[in-house]
Amino acid sequence: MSKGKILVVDDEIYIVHILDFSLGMEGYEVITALDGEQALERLKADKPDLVVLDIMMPKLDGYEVCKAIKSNAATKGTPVILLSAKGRNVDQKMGFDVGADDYITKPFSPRKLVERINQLLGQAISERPASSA
Amino acid sequence: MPSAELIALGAVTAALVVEEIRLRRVRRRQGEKLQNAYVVVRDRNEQLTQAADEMGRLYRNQLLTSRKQSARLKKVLETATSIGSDLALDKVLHQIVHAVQDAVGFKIVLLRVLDERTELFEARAFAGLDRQAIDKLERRGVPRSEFESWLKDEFRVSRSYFISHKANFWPVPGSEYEGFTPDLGERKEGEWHQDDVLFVPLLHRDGSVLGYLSLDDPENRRVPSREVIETAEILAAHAVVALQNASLYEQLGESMRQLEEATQRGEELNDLKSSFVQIVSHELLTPLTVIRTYVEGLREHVGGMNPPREHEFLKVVDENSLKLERLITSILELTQLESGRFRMQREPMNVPELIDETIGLLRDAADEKGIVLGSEPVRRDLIVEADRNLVRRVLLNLGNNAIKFTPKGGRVTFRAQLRERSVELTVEDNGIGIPAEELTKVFEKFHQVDDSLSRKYPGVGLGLFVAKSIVEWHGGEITAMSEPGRGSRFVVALPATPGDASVITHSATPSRSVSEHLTRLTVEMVAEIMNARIASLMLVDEERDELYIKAARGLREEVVCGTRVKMGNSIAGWVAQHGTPLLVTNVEEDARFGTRENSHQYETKSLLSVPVKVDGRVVGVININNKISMTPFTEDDKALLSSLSERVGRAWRHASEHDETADRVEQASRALAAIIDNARRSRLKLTSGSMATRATAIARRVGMGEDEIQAIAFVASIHDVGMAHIGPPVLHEPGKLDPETWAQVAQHPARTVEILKPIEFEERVTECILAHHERMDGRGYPRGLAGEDIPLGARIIAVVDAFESMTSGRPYRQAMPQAEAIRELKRCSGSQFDPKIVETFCQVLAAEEAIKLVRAPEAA
Repeated sequence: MSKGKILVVDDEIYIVHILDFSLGMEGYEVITALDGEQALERLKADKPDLVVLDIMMPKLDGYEVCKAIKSNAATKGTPVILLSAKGRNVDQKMGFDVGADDYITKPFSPRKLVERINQLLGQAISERPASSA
Repeated sequence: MPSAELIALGAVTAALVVEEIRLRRVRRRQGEKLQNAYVVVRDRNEQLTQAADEMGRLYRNQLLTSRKQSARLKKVLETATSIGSDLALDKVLHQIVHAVQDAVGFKIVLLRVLDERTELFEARAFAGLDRQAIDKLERRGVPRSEFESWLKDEFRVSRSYFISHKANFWPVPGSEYEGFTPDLGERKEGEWHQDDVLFVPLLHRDGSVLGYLSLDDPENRRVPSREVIETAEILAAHAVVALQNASLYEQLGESMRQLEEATQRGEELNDLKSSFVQIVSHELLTPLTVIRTYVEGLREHVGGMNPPREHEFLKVVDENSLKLERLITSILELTQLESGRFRMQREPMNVPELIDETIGLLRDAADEKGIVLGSEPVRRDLIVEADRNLVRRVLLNLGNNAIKFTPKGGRVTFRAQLRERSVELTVEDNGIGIPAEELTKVFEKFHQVDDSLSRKYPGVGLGLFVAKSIVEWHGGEITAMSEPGRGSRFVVALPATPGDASVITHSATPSRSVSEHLTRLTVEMVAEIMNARIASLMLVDEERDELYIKAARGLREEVVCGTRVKMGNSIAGWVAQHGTPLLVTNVEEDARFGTRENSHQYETKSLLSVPVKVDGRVVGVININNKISMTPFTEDDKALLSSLSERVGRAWRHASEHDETADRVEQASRALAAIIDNARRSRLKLTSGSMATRATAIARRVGMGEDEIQAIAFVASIHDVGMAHIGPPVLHEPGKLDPETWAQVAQHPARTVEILKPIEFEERVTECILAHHERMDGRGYPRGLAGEDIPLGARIIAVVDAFESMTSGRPYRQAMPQAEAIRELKRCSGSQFDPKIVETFCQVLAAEEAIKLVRAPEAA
């Protein structure tokens, strides 16, 4: 039984693979996308419980994707973790401005990411009954 | 596993480097601005000296502060490095030997790492050995040769070596444990013997050995199976990654140090810095992130991961380490490239020789891959003006790429061709090719065609960018063509030698009026005196009513032989028909002459064309292009070239007169050769501007006519021709001259006139040459003329010549600053020099300064 469905978006295939592995080991179901446009398609088709999103990507960048997720009523409640090599404060601020729930800078620890995901999903799950009621 | 921390430290260090570079750039820019301002203020306005001093003081303070800050940053890095490279690595290696002990089931595990300096394998990590044993092992390094002698094929299992006691091998490799291993007594078949030993080499991806694991005393007391050995090998791969990361870390420190040095040299590093920032922010961080996450994955699941998965993870780490290594190499490469740009030296070089040399350097890499390297026969005398080292770099980069992307058994071919306006170097392969959509991008910094490709063929990235930069500095062009699956072709076009100093004469059309030798000298003299890269002499072919190029410098043979111009057509035709000189400041915009062919040869758009007349009849045209200074020709240049062409006409006439022709050709030739020689010598000592320009400027200001101005321009260029005949001792000797040499010096004006006799018989010119060492007070030489008796032209030359000689310095005397030379002129005004001329000359110099001032902001 899967702990939840997570969409991993990154144009670096290695990162996608390791997250697929780490999150898979944690008991999550992982779906992947290699650019922003693919991410939106997967989002619509697979309805993930959480999105891990790189910022610098071809076609549509992470900020745009995050904005799209947060402005759509159907996906608004899906937590988004931005994962980026852009480590400056302004980049983080911009991430939170577009509605990201967390911002993790590269290089990152998969363990810490898993912890953050557990935490966010724990919250989301505990909040769900309240919002659907 | 601390290697992750080590990598994080690497990232921190990189970020520090970037920050430091940014700070320095800002500071240096500020510093440069201040310095410039300081120089301008000091030189131009004496009353502002005090303010300038104040600014200088501020600048120095700023430098001091900046030095302190960079020292502080350096300290941080040093601390980080010492923690990063040694302690962390030892910890990792320690974990690895214990993992081998547990997972592979050997009681004794020893890890040795090769010290490349001493060629000894040093013991670095131990499991199952007591302090005493460790001490002993640490003291004894295993020489590389000894280790290699153990690696016999018959001992090999997988990538490791099991040496059985039965092999009767001497010296016994396992003897390093003697005294530490228990005596196992009699052994049965398949059981481990105390003299058995298992070595698992730590192999770099290129096959070189970084170290080895030595295993002894298995728990199950059995000779290890292949599976056991393979498990040990996976762990050995971990050790290799750790060792490589440590060395990468060192390299990062090294690249940082080189950057720092480069900055200290004060070289322009803007490009490098921007690319460095780019690398660190994304390119460098991406592989680092991958390494870190995969290492963490490995660490978290030690034992829980199946071997193929573990292998795959190690492979990813390995690949990304390689990627990182490549990026760091790229940074170093960029550093070197940038400094190369500032040392760029263009000189004529032989192209086929360079190709042979490049092929020699690529031979090993090609042989290893089984690729045939070849070159197509080219003209052995093909020359191009370029920086040899840089162009070799271009060919090496292109060649290496071609080898890399060509499968075994393929072919890489070098070619060189002389084209209309360029020398084309081609590197062609029959390899995998480049997809069309990638062709334009291959020259971008850090471009990789596609990830799967770069994994298969590592090392792409900067080579082509470097090649492109170098070619562009040479004013050339690089293009790529390819057919995927069939091969690629890279073509480098370097501008055909514009400054070739050799004169080509067109001997197919012998001239009746001038000897070949004389035409050659004519072109050479014009080019030397006018400082032009391209000079050509055209002669009139009366039968066909055309002009053809008889001799030229800076033009290629095909142009020389192939160019014919109808009288009246084009610029040269117009000049020949009208018999008037023509200065065209912008060839492209001058509609009178239609579209010009060969316009690509002209680096500058201005062109000067003058007729050569013999006895009033136009017999030819002299054309010059491309001033060495890259500035357009001026009216002064026109005056000088006109006077030269007049002398040329006379020289030809002199040579063709009377019956004793041979003798006269000789005399005329000697006159021209003396002028060329003088021009070359004076170019070495000229400081600024040119004497001819300054003399003509004065002549104009005092209202002399155009003919006189031309005469003065000529005299200014040649007045010291006779000096060369006075022998070097005089010119090189400091202090006072002895009476005998003095007498010779006093004769040099007369000597000049004598040498130039075949081409110079205008009295105003010869008088001017003769009298340019006379003084206003009559104490000059050779005739002791005074005041207005000295020709005006000679008085002008006297001032300009004295100034030039004071400010340019001589072997026996230091150059004088301009301001001091001006004071000296003023001091001698009236006695030695004509006060009116000195005053006018000061105005000319002031005007020059004003122009410099106007241009200064552009330069700053």
